[in-house]
This record gives sequence, C-alpha cells and structure tokens, in this order.
Amino acid sequence: MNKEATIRQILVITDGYSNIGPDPVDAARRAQKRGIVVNVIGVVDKGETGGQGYDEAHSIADAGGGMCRIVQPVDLSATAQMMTHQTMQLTLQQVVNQELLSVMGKTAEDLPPAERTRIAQVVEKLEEEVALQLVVAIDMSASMKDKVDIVREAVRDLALSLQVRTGALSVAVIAFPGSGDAPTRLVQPFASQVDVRALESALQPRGGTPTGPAIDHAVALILEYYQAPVEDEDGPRRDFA
Amino acid sequence: MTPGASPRLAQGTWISGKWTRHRWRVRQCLGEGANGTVYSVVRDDGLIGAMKVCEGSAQVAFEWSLLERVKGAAGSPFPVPQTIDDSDDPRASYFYVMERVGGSPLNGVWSQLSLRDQKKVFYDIVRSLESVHRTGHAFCDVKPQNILVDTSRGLQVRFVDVGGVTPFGRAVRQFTPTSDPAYWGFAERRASCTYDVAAIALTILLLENAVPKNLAAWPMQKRKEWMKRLVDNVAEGSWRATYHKALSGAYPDAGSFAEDILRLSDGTRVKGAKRDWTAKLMWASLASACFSTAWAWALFFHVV
Ligand SMILES: Nc1ncnc2c1ncn2[C@@H]1O[C@H](COP(=O)(O)OP(=O)(O)O)[C@@H](O)[C@H]1O
Repeated sequence: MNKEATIRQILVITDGYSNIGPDPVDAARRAQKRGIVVNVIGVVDKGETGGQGYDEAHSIADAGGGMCRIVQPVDLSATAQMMTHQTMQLTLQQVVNQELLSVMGKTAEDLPPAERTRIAQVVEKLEEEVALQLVVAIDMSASMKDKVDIVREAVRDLALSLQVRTGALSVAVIAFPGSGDAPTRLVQPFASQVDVRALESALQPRGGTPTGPAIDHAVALILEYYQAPVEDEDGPRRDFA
Repeated sequence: MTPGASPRLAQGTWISGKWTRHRWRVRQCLGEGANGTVYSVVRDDGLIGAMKVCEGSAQVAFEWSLLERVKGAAGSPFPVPQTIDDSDDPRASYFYVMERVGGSPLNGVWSQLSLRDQKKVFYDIVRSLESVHRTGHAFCDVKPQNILVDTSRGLQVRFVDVGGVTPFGRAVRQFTPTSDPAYWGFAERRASCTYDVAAIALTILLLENAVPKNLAAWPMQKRKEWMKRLVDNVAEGSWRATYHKALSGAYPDAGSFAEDILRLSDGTRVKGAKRDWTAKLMWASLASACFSTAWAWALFFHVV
C-alpha cells in the first residue's frame, strides 16, 4: 500500500429528519458504492431522546458504511474526531482483510488473536499516514439556530485534530439548505484547513433539511476532485474503493 | 457499529475461550465505555481479572497491543494484560482479559481527600504519566474517570482505558474536551509529554472549578483566556506559576513537573505545621525498622 492512498469520508452533522429532496439513505448507498464512507452525528438538546430523525441518522450511516452517534452539543467535537478516526481504521481494516483473504485465503478472524495484534499495529500506522479527503455536511435548518456556534467550533476543532496527522488532509464544507432555492451551499472547496471566516459567514440557519441532496453534493465534490487533473502530486493515486 | 449493541453478560455466565481453552465466570459489569464493556471475571483457575468485550476483533487487538506496549519494564499504571481470546458466545465474541484494578475514579474521590492527600495523588499521577512516557507513548485521554485511586491501599493511583494511548509524535485519537490542552488552545493535539502534562493540570484545575455552561460555543482564544484567569486566581498562590508552566508546555517532561509538585507540596506541609502523631509513630517505626535491618545485614556480612 503506498502513501498516496486516500480515504474518502462524508460527515453529516444534523439535528433532525430530512424533509426535502431524495432519500438520504439512498444517497448514502450511492456514496458507499463509490467507496465513500458516510458518518452521521445527530445532535440532540438536553432531555431529547431522539425520535424519527435519529432512526434516519442510523439508517444513513448503515447504508453509507459508516458510524452514527447521537450526542449532546458539547460532545460534538470529541465525537466527530473519534468517529473519523475509527471509521478510517475500519476502512483500512477492510483493505487489510481483503489482502489477507487474497494472499492467505484467511480473514483476520481466522488468525489467532495474538497475530491480529500485529495487523492492528499496521493499521494504526497506516491510519496516521494515509491521506484523508473529508466533506463535512452541516445541517443549517432553522432548528439548528441555538447550535450554530457549537457546530462551528466543532468543525474547526476537527480540522485542527486531523491536520496533526502525518497523512495529507483535504477538507471541504457544505451547508444545507443553501441560499435562495438551492438545497445546498458550498462553504469551502477542498483545502488543507478549514476557513473559519467562510464558516462564520455561511452558517445561517433557515428552512428545511435536505439531507439527501447534501450527501449527493458531497459525493459530486469528491468525484470532481478525482476527475480534475492532479498537478501537485506525482505518481498514481490509489483509492480504497 | 452502535456501542453496546451486544447485550450485557449476566452475572454467573461462563465464557469459554476458543484459543486458550480457558473459562471465565462473569461476576459483575464494571463499566461501559465508548468502545466496549468491562466485566469483573474469575478464570477457571481462580485468577481474578477484568474482561473487556468489544464489538469488533480489531478494537480488541488494538487495545491489547497498546496494553502490551505500555507494560514497560517496571510495572505500569495500566492494568497488566492477561489473555486475549474469542468465544462462541455472541455477547462476547471478541475480548481480552486484564488485571482487575481497584479504586474509584478520581472525580469521586478528590473532594474527600485532605489537601495533603490531594497533593500526594496529584504527584503520583504525574509520576505514573512519567512511567508511561518511558515507553514512548502518551496517555492522551487523561480524564478523572480514567484515573482510579484506591483509598484502601494508601491512595494507589492506576489508569484505565488504554484506548487513547498514542506513540509520541502521532495525532491524538481519543480525548475529552475539558482535559484536552488543544481544546483550550494551549497545545497541538499531538501525543507528547507536554500534552499529558498540560492535560493533567487541566484535569486537576477542573476538579475544583466548574467550566462555563456554554464553553463549547466559545472560540478557542476565549477559552484560553478564561483558563488563564482561572489559574491567576488559584487559591494557593505559590501554585499559579507551576500551573501556567504546565499549561504552556514549558515543562520538558513529566518528571520535572512532578518535582515542582513535590516542592510545592512540602511547602503545604511545613505551613500546615504539625504532622499528626500517627505519622510520627510511623516514621519512627520505619526508622527503627531500617536500623535493625541494617544491623542484621552488618552482622550477616561481618560477623558470620
Ligand atoms: N482493568 C480494570 N479494572 C477495573 N475497572 C476497569 C478496568 N478497565 C475498565 N474498568 C472500568 O470500566 C469502565 C469502562 O472501561 P473503558 O476501558 O474506559 O471503556 P472505553 O475505552 O470503551 O471507554 C472504566 O471507566 C472503569 O471504571
């Protein structure tokens, strides 16, 4: 496995049930088919137990091959970071498992636990070194009003965590809904860090929750990036698709 | 990938290891974390342990490898690893067993300790961090819930939850915001001695001071200012400089932080005046014990 290998993820931060556009679960399935993992964090207020919207959040993550956590706003930042790391680990584990299967005809579970430990260490190292392409899709529907500041700080914080890794980071941010009739809005295109000022001006809660279109937009962003000619890097890229 | 997806093991359940052929009887659930559930267990040969059950085999293997790596030469503050195994019981497909650590989480114990005992525990935690650092790793997820203090055993300090342990220089994977120096704007989120030193300083400071309710919505700079003000107002004035130094990453290692804690604690003791008589008696008997042992050795070497 070479160092240009890239893991591609979408992180959806939402507080409710999607109500505009195509089904987000289908969108997540489409993403997963392209080798993109979809993680979902449902943000709840104190006392809320989560209803329909949180069932949906779980279904999106299941279809997207990712994880789902329902958290209080204060836990958003640590959860986002933990999920990103764990799903990267999971993706790498799957890659390693495939290689094991093709080389040895065995899965990791067929190996004695002590040998799995060695695999775990390889995965841990790869996780630090692999490139990560991440789209953060932020629900900015009207109900997010009280959580805007926390979400902004959490996204900034997530980027700070990921920048410390040895592997390259490119992060893009979209908000949904967009302005006017647009279901989504590009807050920032892929960059090595989060543009805090863009984030500050773009996060304006209003309207409904087009989660499906947001996931489709995120997928399109990632695919566009891959079709664009690569200028700054030599050598072939390899995706974990 | 939902935590706690597998149902809990009932008390009295026997878990049979597929690879080691050992059997463990579940005594009780010790706790549930983000990555799995920990049970108190007894092995068929009587060995007491703590069994961590995770959803996936990879997480088990990962945590096991960390426990092995922080074991160190001379005793680790983390639980000693015992066995890693699988079972056919779907509630415990993948697990490892480690030393059962006694004591209660620091947050529950702290307010019941005397000022002097608080300083002793603080000092021991920092020395324990130092011993983790000797293995080339940082603890990272330093939070009161992950530090157990055994009040029945001379305030012994132990760490649980090895999951955040990270080799120096790598990105921190697991942290708790209020104990995270990066969250407060004091450091990068990269595993190092200084990261842990700042993290434990934050942890101790926040055992005695509540954080503002809307902290998570504050920009980092504002959080940092708040924390600096908190340190400026620490009741024991002589500690302020040390806290500032710890937060700003000016201690090169945990050892030098520990020395300052000891120096300042001695101050507390002198100013706090009288050692009580039990302590005096203990010191006296300790001294006489050393003396007689020394005598015994002298006799052994010279007379015999
Ligand atoms: N070796 C141990 N001995 C005694 N108690 C333990 C031990 N390991 C964990 N625990 C208890 O179980 C709880 C959960 O375990 P932890 O490893 O922190 O889970 P997670 O990593 O999933 O958060 C801990 O907070 C602690 O109280």
